[in-house]
Amino acid sequence: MINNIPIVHFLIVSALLFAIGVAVVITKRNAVVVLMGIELILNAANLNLVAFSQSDNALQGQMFALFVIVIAAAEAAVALAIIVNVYNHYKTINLDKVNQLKD
Amino acid sequence: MRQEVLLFYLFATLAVLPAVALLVTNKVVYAAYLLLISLLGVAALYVFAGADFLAITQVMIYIGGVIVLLIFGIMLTAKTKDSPTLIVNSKNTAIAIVLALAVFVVLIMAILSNQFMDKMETVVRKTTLSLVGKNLMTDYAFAFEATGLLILIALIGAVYIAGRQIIKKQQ
Repeated sequence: MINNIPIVHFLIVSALLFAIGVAVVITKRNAVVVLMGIELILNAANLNLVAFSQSDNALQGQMFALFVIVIAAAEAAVALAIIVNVYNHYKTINLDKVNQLKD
Repeated sequence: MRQEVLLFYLFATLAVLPAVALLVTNKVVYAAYLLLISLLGVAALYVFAGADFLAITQVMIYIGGVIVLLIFGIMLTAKTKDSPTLIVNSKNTAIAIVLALAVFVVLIMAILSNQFMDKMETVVRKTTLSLVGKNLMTDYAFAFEATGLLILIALIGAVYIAGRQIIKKQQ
């Protein structure tokens, strides 16, 4: 196993991914692309957890990251179901146009 | 040592550059495939951090599951009223860039100002597989079962929410 990379490198990559994910979530108007930004943010958090669990005997960081991945999959499934429903109702998934509470 | 660091930079670029392209592109399908490449890069970085099982999990769940779901989502919501093509509009670009840069600078300052990381020693292991398995069956047994239940509920809920209109139409 390779364990020679300084942990700061991982943290910088993770900070970059997090910042890009935040920018994607703010700028994009398509609901599916916003979901992609959220996946980027979750991956940045996971990278931090995994990087710090290098020096942990019990691997708590990796276990947490494992659960985060599973929850992210469930979240993506539910979010896409909601997006499909929104599309059926509004015929668009532009987030600025989804602004009615009632018909 | 030297080659490993070079490879690390290669895979870090593989993770970050597609993410930047995802931010810049206005085509939804390109965005999905760029996210795929970026997640592959992150999986490679997991290997560099000594998390082999997690890297495989990332490839299987994210690339085999979440990306496929996202592409299905794109397919099912393809025809929009206002534009015939799959173009994603961007808004608030200036605010987003300023905010993302601010977040990045704050994170980098926090990372670089910490001294405790020099004292951390990496545990050398051959593989994490057996330890992850033991953890899942002992300390994390309850969380493991609860996650299984949550996934079941989430998937049944997703099918119900997405299929409600079809059920309504049939009645």
